[in-house]
Amino acid sequence: MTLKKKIVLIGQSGVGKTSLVQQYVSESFSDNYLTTVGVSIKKKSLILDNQNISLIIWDLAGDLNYGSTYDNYIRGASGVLLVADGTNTSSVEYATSERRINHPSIQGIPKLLLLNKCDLKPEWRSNINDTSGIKSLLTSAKTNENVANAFEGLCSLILTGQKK
Amino acid sequence: MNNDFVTYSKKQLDEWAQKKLKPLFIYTNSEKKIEHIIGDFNEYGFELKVGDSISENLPFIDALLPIQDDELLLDYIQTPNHQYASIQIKSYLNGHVIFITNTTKHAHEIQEIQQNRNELCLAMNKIKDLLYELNY
Repeated sequence: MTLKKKIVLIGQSGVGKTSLVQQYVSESFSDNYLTTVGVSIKKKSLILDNQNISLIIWDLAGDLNYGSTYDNYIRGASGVLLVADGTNTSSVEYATSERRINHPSIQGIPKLLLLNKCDLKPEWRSNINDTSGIKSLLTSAKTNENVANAFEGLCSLILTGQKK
Repeated sequence: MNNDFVTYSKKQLDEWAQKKLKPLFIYTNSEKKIEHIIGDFNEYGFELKVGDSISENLPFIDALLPIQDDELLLDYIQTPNHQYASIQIKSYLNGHVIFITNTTKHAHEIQEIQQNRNELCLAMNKIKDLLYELNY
């Protein structure tokens, strides 16, 4: 039996959400930045712990405001990737803010914080301060560092939560 | 299906067709199987036929069903063939009515505005970080 799981990527514009999905699903990367409008949905099949999983990945536009439209997009998610850009401290604050982490539609489901663009680590500011307590991972959509680990790590958390 | 509902749906589809929104109407039963389709689903890169399961053919809609309220609206969903669609889902009898319209033109206009704004924001953040490093 194949388990279908919806996961959502949330984060400020330009942090690399679409690039992470592109790298994970299509194993490709483009340096050109093209903003996402609304939501882009991709599907990826994988096997984890002998379990077939069909991952439905919702890549949300960074510009999405709060309100009913946003609620509709994130509804039914089993897990969340909160994405921030290590070179942009405000994006870390955005991704780990209370209103994102504790949004009623995603409360109690597994979340993973991705500090993306780790290939640019020398440019990162030293004062990245994440006090959210959410498990985090350094990723680079460009070099493919930890990209599969991010998606599959979230899947593992979802499966673990399901077994409890 | 109820006649009033069929009349309403046909009228709505005609209106959208006149506005060149390429409407698509799908009715799914309680088992999430397609019972009716009206419109050109190829327009959106979907491959659908009566009897198909929504779970297999439109998996992103599957995650939303059953809807909690009477109606659910999702704007600017990128379809498999890189079009943009607005998707409206209504509960009907024991199943769901799904209206899809093409909003690609509008989405591209929004994209252009957002792109400019986001590029400006990214540049501003870089400048802010540089000033911080220089202890300004």
